[in-house]
Amino acid sequence: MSAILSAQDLNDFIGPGLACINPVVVNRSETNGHTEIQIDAGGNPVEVSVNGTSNSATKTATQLTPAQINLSDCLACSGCITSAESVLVSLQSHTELLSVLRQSRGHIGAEDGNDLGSKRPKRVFVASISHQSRASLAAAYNISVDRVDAKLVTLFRDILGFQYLVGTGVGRQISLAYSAQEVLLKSGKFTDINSSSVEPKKPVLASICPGWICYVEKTHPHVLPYLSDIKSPQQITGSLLKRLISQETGASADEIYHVSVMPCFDKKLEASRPDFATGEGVRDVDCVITTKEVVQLLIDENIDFMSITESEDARGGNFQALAPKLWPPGKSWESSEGSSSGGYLWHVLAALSDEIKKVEGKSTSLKVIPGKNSDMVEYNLVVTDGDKEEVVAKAAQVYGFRNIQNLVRKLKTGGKTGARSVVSARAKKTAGAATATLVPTEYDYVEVMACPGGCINGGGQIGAPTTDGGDVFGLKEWRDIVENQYKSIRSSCVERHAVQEWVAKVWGSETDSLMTTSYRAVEGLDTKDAVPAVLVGDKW
Amino acid sequence: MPIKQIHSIPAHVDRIWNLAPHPRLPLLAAATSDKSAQIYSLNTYFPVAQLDGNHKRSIRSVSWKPSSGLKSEAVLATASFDGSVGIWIRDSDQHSPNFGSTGESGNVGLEEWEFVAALEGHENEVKCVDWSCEGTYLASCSRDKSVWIWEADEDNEEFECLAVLQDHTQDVKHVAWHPNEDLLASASYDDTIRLWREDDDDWVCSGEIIGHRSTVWCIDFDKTTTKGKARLVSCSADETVRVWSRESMTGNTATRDIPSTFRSDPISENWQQEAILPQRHSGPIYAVSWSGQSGRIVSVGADGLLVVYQEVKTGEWTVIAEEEDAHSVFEINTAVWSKKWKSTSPHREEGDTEKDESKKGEEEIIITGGDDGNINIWEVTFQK
Repeated sequence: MSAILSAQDLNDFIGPGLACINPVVVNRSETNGHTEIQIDAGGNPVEVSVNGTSNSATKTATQLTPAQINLSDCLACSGCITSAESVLVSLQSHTELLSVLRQSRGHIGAEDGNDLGSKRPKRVFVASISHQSRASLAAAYNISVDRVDAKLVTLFRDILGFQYLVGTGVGRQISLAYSAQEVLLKSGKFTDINSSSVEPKKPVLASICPGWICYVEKTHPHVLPYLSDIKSPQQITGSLLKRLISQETGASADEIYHVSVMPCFDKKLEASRPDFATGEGVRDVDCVITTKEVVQLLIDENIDFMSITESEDARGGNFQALAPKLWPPGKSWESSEGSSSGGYLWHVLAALSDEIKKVEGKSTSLKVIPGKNSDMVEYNLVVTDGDKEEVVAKAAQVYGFRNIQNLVRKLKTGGKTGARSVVSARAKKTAGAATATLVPTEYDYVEVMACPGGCINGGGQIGAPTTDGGDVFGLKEWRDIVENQYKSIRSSCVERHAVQEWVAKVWGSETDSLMTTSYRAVEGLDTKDAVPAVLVGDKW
Repeated sequence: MPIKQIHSIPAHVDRIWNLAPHPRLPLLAAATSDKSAQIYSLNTYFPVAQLDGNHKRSIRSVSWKPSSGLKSEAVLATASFDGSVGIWIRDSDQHSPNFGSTGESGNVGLEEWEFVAALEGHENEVKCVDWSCEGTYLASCSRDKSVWIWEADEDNEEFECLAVLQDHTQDVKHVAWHPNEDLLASASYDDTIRLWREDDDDWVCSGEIIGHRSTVWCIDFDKTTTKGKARLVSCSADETVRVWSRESMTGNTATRDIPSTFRSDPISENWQQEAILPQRHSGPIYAVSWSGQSGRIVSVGADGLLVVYQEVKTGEWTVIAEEEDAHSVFEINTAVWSKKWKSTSPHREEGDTEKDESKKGEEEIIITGGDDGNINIWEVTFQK
């Protein structure tokens, strides 16, 4: 893995498990009877069936293949919280991308020469780029995000040979709009909204962070019912790109190769979820590479990012030529108000505020209550009537593993904590404190992100530059620089109705396939009860 | 050898993992592999309570909260191989004022203890727990290589996770807080000791001690140091006991108003080896304890040897007592210094302890626990 930033830089980064137990789980064949593993003359491991005698003539040898772990194994296993980086690298990486690109070019060559080459047409290469990755590149190269965008256009279109390039802005706008809609329905505040069949369920927890989702599915299934059903910008973008480009070019979904550039390694896991496959081996996102893998790709291909020509198309802010024809103009590269993790909380509260104004005719103001640390902030929508203040909606931003711990613990109703009946009475006593104490059931929405600082500080982002003399910037200082680059991206507001109209136009009425997904508990070995054999009787 | 065994409690059929005397009350907690923790009276050496039914696997470590806030409440944390940390509180209403005598009549379990919280989050076996000097924080460490810091509310029922520290590359065996600073030390199978401090709202690794050539099993801070100073003792599977001292500290020197972002000096501590104690053990050394009263150090380990060291002058230590087969043929897992309570006055009130402090100043005991399930009480004959 690239050494630019390692997991050690983030003190509460979720680490992989001690040892992957997956390769040890073998399907035993009943027919072979007793077998032994031996090394044959060629040094290869073979499985030899022993039929009760030592006569070698009765032995049959089967060549053994090395155990391999793929992303689906990691998703299906409860062993680790996230998968090992080495597994991710072998399947979705810049080297994998380069090899697919070369293969595709190879096809053209073969077809030009003679008929020996495959008849399969050249693949259509499509890339979508996250806002956080653009901000990270801008910070790393110390140039504006606009210049980064202009260079990315040249890099992907002219150097790497991509036909399409979009920002994830459109996918994000759709994700935001429908997330807000979901919270309005589940908050139980507006029973007259559209369908009243939705059962109120508080709080709605953001589900766009794949690290968080993985953690919930593997270790806290009790949290699953609270997760938002709405897909992440990456996956909505993927669904849209595959369908629109397929319609436009006539290429089938598997002939379109979609690369997503993300601030996060776990986005690779998200892309490999079976829910996001549209057929055998066909996925909405084929390959996720992180921002620092983009840098690695540049190094490997001997490309100097700073000397890449800045595309005129991008400089004028016009990316339209690189997007599918039906793509809404402008939105793709624009950001949204609120946090640098997508602004989910901000948008949900804005929608709640609008709805309160519309339904009850009341104006609300926003009150920000800082929590114990910078990754825990509570937001209250307040209606002021004279000197009376009424909190009409509550939301919280909960980032980082340590704060997530507190969130999941408190959602565990009837858990082992707080066994005494006096707890609630005592808790009320401290409720008026200056800092926010996490009370999840009071929240309408919680923006949850696994990384401290959120997506802008994702594990796939480029680390602070270093010189021989040591670090140029402190970790926090660097995070602020990247954050400021992100904030410099022009943002537009999400017009819910405009978004819904556009979705209806390009997707039709069956919007669920574009918008929603589901989560499930991952059952696995209860490793807590399994004592590794080698350790029995030993001091530990 | 000027050491004598003054008592032995045939406590368990199973191994005793860890022992902890209460800092103010004549109570001793024992962690055992039978999934329970026992509380003994240090006046009578009789059991006064059994804490069971909540942990699903062995209890590996126990720690008393230094000050519980409420005078009569004793608060114990238990670390278990089931991956959780348990918090237990003695029910203050039911506890009889002369509880020290309860054991005498053999009424085990007369005291009511309540399991008030389970701290879950570690992926697997929790190896150790320790409360910070003021009882504000609770640290836990696990085979999952992480160290967690929790903050307790005043009722000990709600805990907030403040940090998950993942710098160790292997199983973390032991955690210990500094006697008067919010400085945490952790010892690991990766052969290192790490130090942790709060920097703004984050806990960061402020130092690393490299020197042991095998697993560091146990660490203990010098409790007699003056303010601003820090020394710790560590024992290892490399058969050595070493004393380390903090030579310097950087960072956090400016006023707390300046955000760390603008500070050019990140928090760090420089620790140096001050001494390797005279080598007596042959085999892994599992526990060390640094007496807050006499400044002596005791070590025990797999070889069944109990060794007491005394500092002649700074950095120079001598062995003053040695006991072979302190738990017959069994390995010794834990050793800890404690004030000697008067076993002749079982009706002592808790409040009396302060007055007696001066005249009992020199009287202390060593309590050891081993694979034989016994708790042995030792006294070092004082040398003038």
